[in-house]
Amino acid sequence: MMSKELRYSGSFTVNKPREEVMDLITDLSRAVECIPNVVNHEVLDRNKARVRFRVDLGDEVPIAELRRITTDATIEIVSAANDEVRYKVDGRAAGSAISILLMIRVLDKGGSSQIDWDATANLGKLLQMMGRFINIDSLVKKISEDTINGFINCLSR
Amino acid sequence: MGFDVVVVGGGVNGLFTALDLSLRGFKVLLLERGSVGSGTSGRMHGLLHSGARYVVTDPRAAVECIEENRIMARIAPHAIEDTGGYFVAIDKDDLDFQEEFISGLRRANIDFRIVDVGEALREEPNLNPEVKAVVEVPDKVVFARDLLFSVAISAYREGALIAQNMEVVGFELNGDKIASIKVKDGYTNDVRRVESDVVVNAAGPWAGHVASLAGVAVDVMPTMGVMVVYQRRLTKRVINRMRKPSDGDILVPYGSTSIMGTTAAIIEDPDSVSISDEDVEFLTSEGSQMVPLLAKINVIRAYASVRPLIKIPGVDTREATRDFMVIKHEKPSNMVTVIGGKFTTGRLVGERLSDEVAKMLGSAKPSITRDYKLFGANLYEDLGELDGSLRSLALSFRGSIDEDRGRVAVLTLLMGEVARDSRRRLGWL
Repeated sequence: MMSKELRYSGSFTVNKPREEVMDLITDLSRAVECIPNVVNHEVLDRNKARVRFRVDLGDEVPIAELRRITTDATIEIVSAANDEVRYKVDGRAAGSAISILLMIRVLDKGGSSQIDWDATANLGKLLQMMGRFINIDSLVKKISEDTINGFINCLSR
Repeated sequence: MGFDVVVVGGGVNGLFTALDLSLRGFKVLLLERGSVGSGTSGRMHGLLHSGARYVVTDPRAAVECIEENRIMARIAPHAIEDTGGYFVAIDKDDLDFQEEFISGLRRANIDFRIVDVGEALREEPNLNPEVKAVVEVPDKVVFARDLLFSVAISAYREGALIAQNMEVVGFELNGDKIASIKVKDGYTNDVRRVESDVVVNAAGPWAGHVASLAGVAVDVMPTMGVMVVYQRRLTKRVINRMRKPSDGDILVPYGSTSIMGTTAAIIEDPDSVSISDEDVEFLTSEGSQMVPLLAKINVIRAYASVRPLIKIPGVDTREATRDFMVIKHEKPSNMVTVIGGKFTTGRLVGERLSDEVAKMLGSAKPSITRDYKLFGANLYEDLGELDGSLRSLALSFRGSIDEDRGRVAVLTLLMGEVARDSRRRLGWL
């Protein structure tokens, strides 16, 4: 079974200058605090952190212990240019490997910023099996959107 | 040899079904691929749920659990330790959950008490001193094999035959019905045939496989839960994290040990499980938030049980979220399958399955297992039914240093006799 790649993208505007947005998203110790469902984290160095999430798969999953699963992952800033940051997330969920590449581009809009994001998720084959029982696509999409909303909330403070 | 009912699976669901049907007067044979309790049931975490864990997310399961918790304590007092349980709030998220949790407890009619944190720490000195709130509930500990063997011996005493090392390898259909069951004898490798009016499929994670042998299309996804056993008993009570059910949130005092559970990982084959160091580290890390000493004592072993997610055509997905489902198949029309269930609700599963089977066999006799004291509840008095050296060996535990530990030894001894005699009466020796 080949691993399945899921891609999501979106765009939003925040009322903060580009530099302020870039400062936040390139500072992993601050950025991690913005991600919802983080149970605990440890910043390993400026560009790398170990994070534990608790992910809600929804009450339609017939096994209670599988509805909210804990995921341990490493988040790394793999590149940070003037207006673009790339994150890589590697971890395991429900016994299966997951890998997410998140690209965030910040465009200056004269005092505010337009943020374009693009996420590519690779789910391990076992996690894909769950797609027969729950809608994995909408789940990953929801997690991506929650994460981006977490950033928006942080930036809006 | 013909039976009214053949039950496939010697876990808690299958055993209580065999007992229930025998008590209703049916001729029952239970077939177990390995030994009684060698699958998921013998690898549970030891918690006899009060239902508190499910009051917010599965209120129906919560109500079933508290009723069965009370029944089990009554019919199998020898297999239960009435420890009580604490739900503990460690962080702000847990504390935020408390109000919803308490409303759920009230709705489910589960007795509870908000415990002063100081009192909780005096009662359970190994609790995290930073604990923010504590709620006491009637969780209990169940000794898995003691209970399973007691149910098996009770079923045998009521007329059921309990055959171990007998794997169902096929069904012969006649029209839309199962005419006979092909069984591989694990002792001789012979394939034997058994006839039965009704087949009950209570094979747990293997239920999908058994159903597929009868031509029922099923989609199964096994999930594995890991439990870690620590060297010392660190609490008097069961300790649960006060949050929606998740992984790593139950610590059970089991005899002289502590058991931390559980994880949830999808696997390909229920016969192939492997436990990683990460599983043990994860459970220790989560558990030590409730009881910090857990991180400092030795792990003596880890084990895993497997539960299935199963999809069967015609079953509504929302129905599948219930704790367990009894499915009467259209074809074969004389097969009933149970999916899901908890150890705590095993008796209820047996009752519901037996209701369905009784209906199929035209009987209106009701279940009486809720008031049936299991063999072993008065173990040494019950041994009067035995004869000879077996009785004398079993009785030798009474009043000895090993009376408590001897209970499971005696039940194991008797289980062996039950399986041997069942085989003899089947003519398979």
